[in-house]
Amino acid sequence: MGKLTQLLFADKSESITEPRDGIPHVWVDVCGILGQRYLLIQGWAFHPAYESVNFRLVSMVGDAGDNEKAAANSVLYTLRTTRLDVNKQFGFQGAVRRWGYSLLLECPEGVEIDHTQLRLSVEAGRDRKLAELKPFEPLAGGALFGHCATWNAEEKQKLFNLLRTVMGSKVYEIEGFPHMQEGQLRAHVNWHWDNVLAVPGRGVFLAGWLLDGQKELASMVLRSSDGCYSSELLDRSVRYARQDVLDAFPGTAPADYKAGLYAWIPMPHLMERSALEIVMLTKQGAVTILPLQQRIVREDITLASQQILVNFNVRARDYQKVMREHVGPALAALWENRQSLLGEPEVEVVQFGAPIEAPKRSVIVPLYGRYDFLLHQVAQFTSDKDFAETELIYVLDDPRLYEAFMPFCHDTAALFPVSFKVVYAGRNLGYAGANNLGARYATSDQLVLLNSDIIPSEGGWLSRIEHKATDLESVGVVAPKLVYDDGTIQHLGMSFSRSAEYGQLWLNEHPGKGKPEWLVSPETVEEAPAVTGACMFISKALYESVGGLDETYVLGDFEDSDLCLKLRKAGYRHYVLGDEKLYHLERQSQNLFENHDWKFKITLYNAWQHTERWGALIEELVA
Amino acid sequence: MTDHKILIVSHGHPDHSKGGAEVAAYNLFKEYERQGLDTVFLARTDQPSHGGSAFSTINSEREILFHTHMSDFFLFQSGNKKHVWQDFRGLLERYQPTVVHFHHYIHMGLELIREVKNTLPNARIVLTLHEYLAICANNGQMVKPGKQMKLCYKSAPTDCARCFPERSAADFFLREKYIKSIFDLVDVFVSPSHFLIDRYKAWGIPETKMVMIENGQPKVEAPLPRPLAEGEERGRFAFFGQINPFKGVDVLLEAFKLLPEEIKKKVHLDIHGANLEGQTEDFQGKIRGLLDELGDLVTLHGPYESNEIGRLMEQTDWVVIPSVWWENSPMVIQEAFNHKRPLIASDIGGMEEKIAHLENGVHFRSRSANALAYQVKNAVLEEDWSALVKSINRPLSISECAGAHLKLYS
Repeated sequence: MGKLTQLLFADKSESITEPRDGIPHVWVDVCGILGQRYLLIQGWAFHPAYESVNFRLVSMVGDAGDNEKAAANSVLYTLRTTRLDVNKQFGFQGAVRRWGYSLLLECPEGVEIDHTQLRLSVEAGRDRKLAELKPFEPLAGGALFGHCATWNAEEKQKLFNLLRTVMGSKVYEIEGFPHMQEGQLRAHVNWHWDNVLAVPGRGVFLAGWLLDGQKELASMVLRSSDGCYSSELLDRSVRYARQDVLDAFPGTAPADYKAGLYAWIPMPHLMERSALEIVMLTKQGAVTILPLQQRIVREDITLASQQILVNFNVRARDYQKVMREHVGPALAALWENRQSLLGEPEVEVVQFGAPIEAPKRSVIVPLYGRYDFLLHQVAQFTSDKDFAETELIYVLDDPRLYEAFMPFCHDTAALFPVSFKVVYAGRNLGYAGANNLGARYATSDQLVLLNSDIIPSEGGWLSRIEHKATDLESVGVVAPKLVYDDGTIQHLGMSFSRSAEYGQLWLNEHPGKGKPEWLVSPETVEEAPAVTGACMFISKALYESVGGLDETYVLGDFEDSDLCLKLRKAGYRHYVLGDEKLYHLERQSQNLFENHDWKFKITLYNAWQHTERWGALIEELVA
Repeated sequence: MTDHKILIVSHGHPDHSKGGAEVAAYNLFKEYERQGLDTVFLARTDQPSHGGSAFSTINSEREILFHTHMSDFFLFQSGNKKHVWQDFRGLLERYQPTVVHFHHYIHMGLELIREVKNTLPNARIVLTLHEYLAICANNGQMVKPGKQMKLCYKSAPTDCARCFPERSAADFFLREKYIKSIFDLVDVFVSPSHFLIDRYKAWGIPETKMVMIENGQPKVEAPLPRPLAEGEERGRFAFFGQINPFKGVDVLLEAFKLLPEEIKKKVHLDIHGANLEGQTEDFQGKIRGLLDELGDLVTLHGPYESNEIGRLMEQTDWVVIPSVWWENSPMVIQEAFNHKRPLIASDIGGMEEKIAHLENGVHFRSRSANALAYQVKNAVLEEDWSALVKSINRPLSISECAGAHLKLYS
């Protein structure tokens, strides 16, 4: 609408003195009522002496009645358009001028308008020309665009945009738009939808391609069977190159035409059973309405997430905008919908071995993907006296494993004298959700969040770390040094760095990662802006005071730094103990920044959320 | 006389399979019985049991078969953990051994060791190490997978992961940590070779926990030297053992192919080898091809019973052990010594340790058919056979071996 407004002139009705002949001809083609609220007057005014003129209605009777009221309403929009036929009629040879006009006025409520009592006044300088009106009649689509054959396409688009601005989605319901069959439309415009993912109550993710090399379309929207319209798709979809489409339809579009299209289309009133239609309107005023077969996304969102992300180009200039307007809201909608469908989990808690009475601490270990880590940890914990006073909680966060896992726990508990309990929600809660669930079932007031792929280097680490933490000031989270299997550093506290590659997002960093210890000479105690969630010591009260780990990050990333920053904002500090060492067998697959697959894109989505939330605090911390 | 109750656990019963470890374990058991000690022999079997029970007996009620298996050869996980925490536990509770001597954990699961500690925390746990199973995931051979079968000198998670691309260094790290957590429960490790002790020491087992005890041999009357015909040389060579790629039979046959024609007339090779039919087709083809080429020079006899060993040794001048892996203390070396026959052996690992070059045997550069051919020729033409035989000491007897073990049990 930006350009359009520059071309619209407000009607300033100043007193006109002497009529001269600078405006020799004015003609009214159409007088219509639109949606019982607007008057649309179209025609042409020939005024070669003036660059621009003003339009207004004037009353011929001055009776302070209905017609007076109508005349008092100023013209809302004036659109000037190309009328080559007028040029021809008057033999005008000059530069490109727009003699046509479309005037939009608001129709006062309950007003009876008599066109004979009103005139259109066209004014410029000291010139003024009055033109007679035609009877105002409800305007049909055909008439709207019917007389404007010589308008250029941009002007027709402006008229349509104008109508939509004032009428909203009612514009599509103006009677009398000529309907165009799909086949006719495909002679000019082609398209295919690969995915139409509907999230009831939230919106639709549409992906496919649209080939409109000649810019025939004025509008494309979705509508539901109950009459809810989406916003305009043509100018707010993400477009990207689809060479295969251009190859399949040679010569129909410029070489740099971006046929690929995807968009998150908010439709908060979308009901689960609503049928969807796509409405396409050409610049000639022809409408094509086609049913759209959507797939409703429910609890299982993996495939849908992949489909949303597949064409998301994180290298594109506008990727943050795409993230903010399409990918981010689409992913959020999937997750929120999933959460609300699943409701509160039915939690199962199984104690293996004798319960620990009044434990000194609760160690929470989420398990996802593989569970043999439990055996490896328990085999190590067996020789550690601390575990006689430790509540060990495994949160099974992977329903695929359940059937094999429970007997495995039974056997492991029968053979290894370490008590543990298993908490299972019946579904995948994500890393944050699993830890939060574990914390809910913790009975001690000290929490240790531990990854399953962490193996201690020696026994007694729990009590030693707790002891060392007692003297620290405003303690938030305490974490040990973590090393890889070859002894090189995996974690010595986290920091943040801006990604030059990905639009200055803040990314989490593990300074010193991969270096042999002597190259980093860790301090015994060191403060860090954040520490890893792989091994975190935190009081349960503190953990709960900030609501635990944030569950809106997808697939486990950034929750740990998010927690640290929440605490940091509340005045707590985080420490790394350089003289306590545990092994962290961080899986290679977690190194997501190595490739550009969908998981990597999810990480980027998380990074974006994290940056939106914490960018300012991070800037202070790492300055 | 002791009041110990000794449970000997073996991964097999010699009535079913005649591996060196099974035989050594069983010999020890029989010797303890002979000495009147309270002992039980528990041997794993892959045969089905009556009614699906975990146990059955064989020979006597003191020889118990354990019908169990392993599901995971990477971490030596029992394939039926209930067998461990119910049946094996029940046996421990009932019998209350003061010593549990494992001759292996393979095919049963490392959990057995854990279970002894759970149920009988004061029982002494002894583990005899027969291979490098804990160190090396390639069947404990410390030989790298692949056609070349390169010798491996040291394990490390990143190196091991290169041998097994489907596994990560982290997997090997966890494997080592897990096995060591179980090995921590063992009071004494017995090894029949110093070489194996050195490898386990390098891997992290404290040297003080490891003792070298050679496998005991039955007392036999050593056969006389093979009588020679007029002008005949000491040219009867023999191989005893499994025919598989690690045992170097192919090297041995290649060496015989390389012998000069005039030597070939003076020698013969007997292969007393089992299990060729269980090998890959490639390997079988290679061996059969070599056998065909060698014709009458070599006789393939197939497997032998242990009571036949004396008669077979009697017809032998030289025993060849051409293994291409390290070995530990192969049975054939002690058997050869027990029958006063000198050996020609690969110059690596347990073979190098047990056989003194030019004293009671001869070394050749392992894996080299040329080097072996040279030593075979030398053996026929040059070597002072009688002098070598004279230097062979009587090996440790079974009762001496049992005596050494009993010292460890207290």
